[in-house]
Amino acid sequence: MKARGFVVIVVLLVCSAANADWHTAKKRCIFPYFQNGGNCVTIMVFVNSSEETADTLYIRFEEAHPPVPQKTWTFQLAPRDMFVASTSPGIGEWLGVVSSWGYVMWRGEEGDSLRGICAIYNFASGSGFIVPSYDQDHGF
Amino acid sequence: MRVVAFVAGAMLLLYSFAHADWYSAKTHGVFPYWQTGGVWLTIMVFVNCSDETSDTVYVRMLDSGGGGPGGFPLPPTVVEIAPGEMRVFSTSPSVPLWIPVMSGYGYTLFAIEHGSPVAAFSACVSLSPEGPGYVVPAYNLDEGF
Repeated sequence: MKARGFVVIVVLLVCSAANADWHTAKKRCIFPYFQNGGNCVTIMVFVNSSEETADTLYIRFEEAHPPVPQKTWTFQLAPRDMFVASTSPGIGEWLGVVSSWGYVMWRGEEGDSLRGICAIYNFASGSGFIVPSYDQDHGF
Repeated sequence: MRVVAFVAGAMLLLYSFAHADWYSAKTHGVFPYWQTGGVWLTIMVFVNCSDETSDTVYVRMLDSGGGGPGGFPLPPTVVEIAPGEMRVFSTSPSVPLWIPVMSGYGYTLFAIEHGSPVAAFSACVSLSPEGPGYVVPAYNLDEGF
């Protein structure tokens, strides 16, 4: 009987882990992106501010008008881990996107430990913008 | 009697919709603008972060000299914003939707009709080859910083 209960619990845990996805994520944030396939890129930096627990990061690009969701990328961030992604090959994890501008939805599976910020940077001029994330649930 | 009550209810609903405007909007925000009529312009971006509900965005430019005619902000530009949609405005005809403004600098007031979670920020950018600029997240007008 105990063995059966253990198996049931394990199966439930595996099921819940398998169903953890974009829609179940607890932290939901947004920032803009811009890229032209040349000098202008968007660099995204995420930090797991927890010192104890890992978390799962989901990133999704949305073209602006009308909103067209792209594929969802999933990454694991260890405690205190920093993860860098960009719209250009050669800078962190390259997340290929076709549209020039739009916005990035990103989510943290477990809760509040992930932090995100983006830099829209022009290599030709050496200038750009830093844009903090908005909380998707509260707006401005 | 029921018919009268129904008609009265319907009229009240219609009245409230007809009077949904800048003043009845639930949330208000603000960010600055800067434009030179040439190289510099301000781009204003709004994203409806709701996955389900549409909302209405009101945008009013207020110049540094105290506003438009009579010292009031310019009349609001009104747009519907669908779930997940991004809406863009600017002070230049080269970036639609163009909101013409006379003053070189001032600030932008905006309101969200039903208070949906709308992300908003402005980018004051130069169209020169160097292309410098600034991105300014919106402040909540009801709470300040």
